[in-house]
Amino acid sequence: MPELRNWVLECLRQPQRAADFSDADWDLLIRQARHSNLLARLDWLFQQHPAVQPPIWAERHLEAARRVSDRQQIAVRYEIGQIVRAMRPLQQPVILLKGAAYVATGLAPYHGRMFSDIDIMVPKPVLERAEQRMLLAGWMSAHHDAYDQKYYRTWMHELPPLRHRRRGTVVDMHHTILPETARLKPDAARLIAAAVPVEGLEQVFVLAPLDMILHSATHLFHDGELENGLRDLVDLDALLRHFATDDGFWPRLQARAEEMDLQRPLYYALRYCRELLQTPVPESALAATSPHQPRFAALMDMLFQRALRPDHVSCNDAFTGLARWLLYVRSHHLRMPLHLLLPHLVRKAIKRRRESTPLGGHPLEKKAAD
Amino acid sequence: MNIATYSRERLGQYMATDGVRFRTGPFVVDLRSTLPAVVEGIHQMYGEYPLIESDHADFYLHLKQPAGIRHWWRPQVCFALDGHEPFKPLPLSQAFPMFEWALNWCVASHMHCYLIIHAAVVERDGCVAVLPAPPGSGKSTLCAGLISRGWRLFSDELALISLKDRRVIPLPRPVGLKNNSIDIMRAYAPQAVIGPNYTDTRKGTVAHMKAPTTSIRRADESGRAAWIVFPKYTAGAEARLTPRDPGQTALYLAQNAFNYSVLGRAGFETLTAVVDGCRCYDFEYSQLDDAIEIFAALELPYA
Amino acid sequence: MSTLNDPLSTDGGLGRRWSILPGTDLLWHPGDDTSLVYDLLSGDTHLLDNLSAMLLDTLSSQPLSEAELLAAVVDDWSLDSQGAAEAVSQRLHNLRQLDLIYLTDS
Repeated sequence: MPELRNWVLECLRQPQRAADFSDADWDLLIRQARHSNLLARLDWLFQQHPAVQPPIWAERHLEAARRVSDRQQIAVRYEIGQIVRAMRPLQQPVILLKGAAYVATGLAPYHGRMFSDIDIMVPKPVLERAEQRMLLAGWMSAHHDAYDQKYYRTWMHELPPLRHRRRGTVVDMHHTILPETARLKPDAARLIAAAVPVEGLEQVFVLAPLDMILHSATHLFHDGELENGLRDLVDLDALLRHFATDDGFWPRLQARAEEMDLQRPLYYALRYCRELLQTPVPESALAATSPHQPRFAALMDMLFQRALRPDHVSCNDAFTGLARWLLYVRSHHLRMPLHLLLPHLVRKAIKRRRESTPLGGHPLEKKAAD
Repeated sequence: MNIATYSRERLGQYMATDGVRFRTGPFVVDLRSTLPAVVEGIHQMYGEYPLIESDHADFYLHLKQPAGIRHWWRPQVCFALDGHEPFKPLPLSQAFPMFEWALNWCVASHMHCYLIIHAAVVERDGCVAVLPAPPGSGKSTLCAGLISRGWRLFSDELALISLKDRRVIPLPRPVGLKNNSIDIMRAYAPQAVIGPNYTDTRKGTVAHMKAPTTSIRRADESGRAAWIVFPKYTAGAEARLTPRDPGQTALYLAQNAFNYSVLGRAGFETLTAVVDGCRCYDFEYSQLDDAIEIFAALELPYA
Repeated sequence: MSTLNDPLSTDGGLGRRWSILPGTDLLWHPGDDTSLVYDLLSGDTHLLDNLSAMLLDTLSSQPLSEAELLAAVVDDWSLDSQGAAEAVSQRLHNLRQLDLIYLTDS
């Protein structure tokens, strides 16, 4: 089998390596980075390393990604303003999650980050009124299907995505960080109690640093379908490096994970950040999470090692497809009990085949987003 | 070396295995396909495009039949950009038009170092006429008419404007003719190479007119935008050029650019600078010869 | 108390002031009869007639009530006050529809 060349990972670890890249290396890097939504992030890293001089054709692709990312960050700021404006009459906290939180606070992961939607969290008792405010201000529920509506409202930790009528931007409104049916049960009220106000924005908060890390880990390893796996791991790496300088950071992170019932996701986060991105996680911190490793640690390794690669043909091997599929099933299995899971997956599979979203005026039709 | 160096058979072999790598305008395309219609279309329309022996391509395109029963029953074609299939398949008979649409989509949705406007673009003596217009306005017909009478083809779909120096960049590719305009152009430009008719596409019947040789040869010579002309074909109408409000023009272009919303400040500044440097017109016509005459007499903006 | 009004209220509120949205950053491209304006934050491009452009530009430096805006317009534009009141009110309504300005509470 040919040696796997994961240039995205190489350049995330050591951006200066690209200074010696041939055209063929740049070609592969750009293709892999595009398929992992990390092209703009790498561009930002290269900007910090002047020895890296991409060839003109490669620079064009980097520039394009940079422009998309720059504009997305402005758009996220604008949307945050619009959400705040819509929710203000409730006089209730709005908590920005993930990318929106990094942009609002200028935290390390935001450089060159790409966005697909904006995640916010409100206290559960407020959820219904918050949704009303959003609907009044021009967002609409993006799923019309009665099953989807029921699926989200009964089992999920978020409302069906809200899409703005005019701008097309999508907001995911959460009331906690894991589905109601999930086996891990972190207490959302404690997250909200510890949240930190965002300077200059009334009633707007982000999760406290430790919770931010735990949420990012939980989302990546226990909730998502890993479509942006490596990108999310890059977020985690940046957060860990940033906050690790705080006093007693590692033991406090451990203690908070215990309090929130999130030791398993933390185990995964520390393990793969260190292994793949060489995050400086101390031995003691790794040792502290090791009792929480999964029963089939070797199998999980085999799956995550694959799913955390760029979703590009050059990074696939004979097991990649299977690994992604198993993790997809797992992500749903973690969300809901088996008797709910099977019918749900069948339904999704059938629907994916049928659905289509016409692309206005363009002769090609875009495939249904999942 | 250009694509015509290969026989139709050789080309088919390359496209089936390694892919054929060629330059169009500022981009290198790597195309793979075993579908005879795609090989045939490339052979007929892209013979004069330079083959590129480089270790990189801007777009890796693969046109193929989707797996499964549809291979046999109402066969379809889909395109993959570097392994990912962003669009639903089309009927197999539309394989070559799909390649053209797919490549346009690749450029328009990735190349944000340009402001990309939906317009036909032609050039004469370094001065560029941008012809934006909604479908059905006769934009492609007018474009095909002009390039068969001495204007140089930049593109019939995408106006690429450099954000750095605001020059217009050629991307000469086949002109997509629709419905009535196919027969009109076969009669008006008998010397032009026009490919087969593809019926029942989303846009009706489509045929491609090969880009003129000089347009392909001079694909690296950019131009300066001088005119923005909104064509409108009206049966029986006398050809008429009327000045158009620059503000309205800029707003229309903003709304009909593929990536204006991505570019932010750079998009606005580029667009307004380009419109400022152009004469803007509405142009109604019914006879191509009248249009040629009026375009020949277009006044330069900096007189 | 909140500083922004309810985005859905249509109350014209005499005495309340019009203001541009916080964080608004506008790029202007003036023409003869119209001006293009680009809102850097929202990414929207608008084509405004001269009166709208002048109102928006005035509000960019400070919030003003409709009466204050009207006074400025009547002086500068030598409109009769009836026509001016209607024109200003209509333009303000339009600017609000475009999400460029809003009515403050106080």
